[in-house]
Amino acid sequence: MGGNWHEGAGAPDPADRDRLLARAVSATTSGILITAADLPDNPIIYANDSFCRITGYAPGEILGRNCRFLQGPGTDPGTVARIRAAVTEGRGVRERIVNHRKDGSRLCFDLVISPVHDAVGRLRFFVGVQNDVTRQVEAEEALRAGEARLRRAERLEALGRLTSGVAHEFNNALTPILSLTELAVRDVPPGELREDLEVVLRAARAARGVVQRLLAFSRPEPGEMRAVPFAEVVADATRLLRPGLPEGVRLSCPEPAGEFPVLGDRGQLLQLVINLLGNARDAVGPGPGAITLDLAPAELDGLGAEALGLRPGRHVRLDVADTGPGMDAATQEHIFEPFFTTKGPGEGTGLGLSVAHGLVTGHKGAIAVRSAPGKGTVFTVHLPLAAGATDGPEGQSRGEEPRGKETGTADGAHSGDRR
Amino acid sequence: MARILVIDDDELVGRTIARVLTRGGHEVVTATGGAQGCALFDAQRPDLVLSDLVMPEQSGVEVVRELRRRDPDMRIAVLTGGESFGVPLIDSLGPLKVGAILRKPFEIADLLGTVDALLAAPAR
Repeated sequence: MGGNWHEGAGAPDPADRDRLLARAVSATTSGILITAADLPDNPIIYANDSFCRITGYAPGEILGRNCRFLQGPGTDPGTVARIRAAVTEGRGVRERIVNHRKDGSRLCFDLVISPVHDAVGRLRFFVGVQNDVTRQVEAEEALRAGEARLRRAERLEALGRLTSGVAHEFNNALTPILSLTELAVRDVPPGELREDLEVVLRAARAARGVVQRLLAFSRPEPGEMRAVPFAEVVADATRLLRPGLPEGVRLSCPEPAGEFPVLGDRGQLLQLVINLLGNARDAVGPGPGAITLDLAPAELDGLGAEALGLRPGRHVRLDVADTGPGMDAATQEHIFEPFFTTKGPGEGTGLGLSVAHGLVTGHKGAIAVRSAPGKGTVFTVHLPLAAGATDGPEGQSRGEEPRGKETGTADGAHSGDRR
Repeated sequence: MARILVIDDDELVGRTIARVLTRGGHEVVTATGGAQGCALFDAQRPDLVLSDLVMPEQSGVEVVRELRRRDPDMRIAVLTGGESFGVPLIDSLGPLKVGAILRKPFEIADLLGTVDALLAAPAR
């Protein structure tokens, strides 16, 4: 028996040492597996109780199988390839790997695999020691997500500062261009010169429109704030947009479970929903495709609120899902920045989503995007419900399940729609 | 016809407004800052003041406050080209009883309409 034993008082009798080692392996909280390197497909021949407890599998569901049954959609193929290469070469390896418990939940292992040789140096087994680091990984991911959100917020704020400064200068510069051209048009008799001046006038008005949208992104002008039934606003926006949709595009908006009063400016809130719907329409194109709205209460606790950069409390959540081509992570990172657009020239200004972002922020809400190439896109807006709203969906609020459910619902709607 | 004082740090904007209002039959004096504006106010006793909001030396809010001290009933409108980020000047206008807020750039009709409406109302 290899290893080093203390020979003094209290040390086990040499005959008991193997049994003590076996009991120690069984008692440790790390998951321990032994696989047979010289059998086809390297089957598991031993699993300690901790391994069964951590993974949720019974011994009968583990023994005799290759470890890959633990892998799933979250498992990184690169990690698997590195482990396989080490095992093939009879080397030890240490990796952090994403596996799945029997119930399908994600399980992150810090995994150490070591080869076990027999007395003549022949590779016979591998011993795998796995520690459950799921919580640690989740905490790291939450931290990274928080940092990314902060970076985005800082970048958008810097852009807001820049655009509002530029917008202010342009509004001043446009004042003489617009007014004096208008005066000149009145004075000049019909003819080429007057036509030219009218073109200048049209261009100046177009420029004014761009500047107004820039200002909406950087700092929405404070409109009149009052309790606005957000469900009505969403219904108005769908009524406005529906007639312009191509035949192959289905727009569905389930009956909302309440009025969802939000303290805000009705016109701006309408603009927000129209911009999101317009973006979804452009993403879906001529179709076939679908735009699916969902309006639901969302009670944000401390963690949930922090993840979104909001205050805890009762919110309304609007999901706008489209079956368009979806976006990669790099595109999502910049999607709310002004003039960032994936549309071709002439198809859009690249301001719709940045204006939506500005409007949501101006209403003390949060907007986020989930997407993947080929999987469509979901924009999610959270807005705080008006304080003291009496006709709010109190019942639904209480019934709202924690964040996990929220993500689940949205993802579920996602996969259901995208075929 | 009325006498109108226009205060805007952007000289081209001031000249433009003066031109439009003059064509509309008014008499216009222009200033490029609060101090000059107040001096002209004292000397000329206008019927209406149009003041820009974001100005380098003295903000439009301070100028309006100064003018209110001189004449609590003066008709005053402010012009804004959109505010600098994080400087919600417009929010602090509340108690100063400003008759109108005109956003630059405006259509001639909006400027003349606003001015005429303010002049038609009795001085406060």
